[in-house]
Amino acid sequence: MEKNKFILKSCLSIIVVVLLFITKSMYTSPSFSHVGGVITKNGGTAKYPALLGLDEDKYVIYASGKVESAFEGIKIVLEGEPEIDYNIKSYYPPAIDLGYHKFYEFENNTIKNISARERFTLIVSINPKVRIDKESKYYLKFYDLDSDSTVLTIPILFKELINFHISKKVRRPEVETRGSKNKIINSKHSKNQTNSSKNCCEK
Amino acid sequence: MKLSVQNKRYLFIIAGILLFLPPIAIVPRFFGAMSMCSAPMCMRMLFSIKSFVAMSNLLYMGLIMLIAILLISFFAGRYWCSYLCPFGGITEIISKIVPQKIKINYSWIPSPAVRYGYFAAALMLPAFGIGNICGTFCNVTVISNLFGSTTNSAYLIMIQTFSGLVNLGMIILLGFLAVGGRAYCNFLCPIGAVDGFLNWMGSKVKVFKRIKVDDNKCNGCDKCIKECPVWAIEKKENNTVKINQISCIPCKICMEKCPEKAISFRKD
Repeated sequence: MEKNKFILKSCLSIIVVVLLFITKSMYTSPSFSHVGGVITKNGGTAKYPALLGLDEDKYVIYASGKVESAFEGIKIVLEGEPEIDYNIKSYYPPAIDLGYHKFYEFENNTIKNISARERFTLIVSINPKVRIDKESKYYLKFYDLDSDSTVLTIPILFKELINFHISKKVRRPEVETRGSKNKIINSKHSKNQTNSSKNCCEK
Repeated sequence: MKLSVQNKRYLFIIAGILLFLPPIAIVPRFFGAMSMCSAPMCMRMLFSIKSFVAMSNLLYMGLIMLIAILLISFFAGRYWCSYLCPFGGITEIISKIVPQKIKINYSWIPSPAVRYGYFAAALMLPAFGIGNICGTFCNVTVISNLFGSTTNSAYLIMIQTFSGLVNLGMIILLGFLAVGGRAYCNFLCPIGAVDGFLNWMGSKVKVFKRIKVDDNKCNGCDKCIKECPVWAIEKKENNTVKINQISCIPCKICMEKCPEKAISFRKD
């Protein structure tokens, strides 16, 4: 009897945790996106665009990646129409300097004195004064202050996301960026994407 | 001043906090990171079957640490979990100051079933495009963000995202408010799942020491069962207890609490 109870509890427990995992994984947060990229003197590479939903009060983009070569100053700007308020913070430099690793400095949306092959982490908070209620495209651009050229461009797409339905989950198109030219590579589109959204990243 | 075993253990956990958590993060800094939730430190993303090779290249320090933890678990016991891991350690320490009345007792839930059921799901389902281990029910990210936010508001922004709030709620319910403070470790930690298995395998080798009970001395008082933070002690039919090595972290609380000194850390 005790053994049967134990087996039943174990089976129920397994079902519950698996369902919990599936439920959490089916949800696409409309206000958060994690993007990555590599900063290079040739324009950089972003793996895929940030995908955010419509009609939210606030958005957060976690942008991480690395730089291939050293830069004295990289300015980060969110470009697009209409202009929206944004704020960029960084995990680095740490509040307490232990002296044995030189992190880059971050001030006024500018990464300063970053060494080659160093990693960067930026938290971009977007606070639109007027809610974004239609499909829009913005770009998070990284400019080398020395040469005034773009060293990374990460597209940010605002579109209608449908949550809690895995079959309708919008898959992010992969985007290769070279300077100001963006093109989709290996795009994986869900059946519900419209034609206009399929071409959203092509210039 | 002689320190008790538990106080020594807490000092090690504090060292773990300084070694691995922001804003100090002594170890991650060597590799240009500020927390374990970052390349090349993350140990969890290594469990991505589809991209294991790519992840191993990116998270090389996480791989080295994971291998070291698993080897120690096999040969000596789960000392990473009980003595150094700041993520489980901090929830255990904080749960000690939470009043017993409001704590939740999860010991009625068979933890190995939950742990390995969740581990199997987290391992297999992302390979089929369902879910992602990164940030899903992850205590590393939320505890790193909590500590980092003491000196940098960027970490606070991350806690305020949907995922951050879910993880925070999870740590509160399964950590700070759990009896023993280790319900998250027992249920959802993928590293704990693997090293629990290796600990169990190592316990089968007679020359390796593990926490064991002397049946001749045990009087069945159940004090150890009540004190075990990972509810790894079970009652046998003859009214004595036995240690479940798949869950045991050698915190040695049971050894201290046993009035008959029936529990010891020894070879078979």
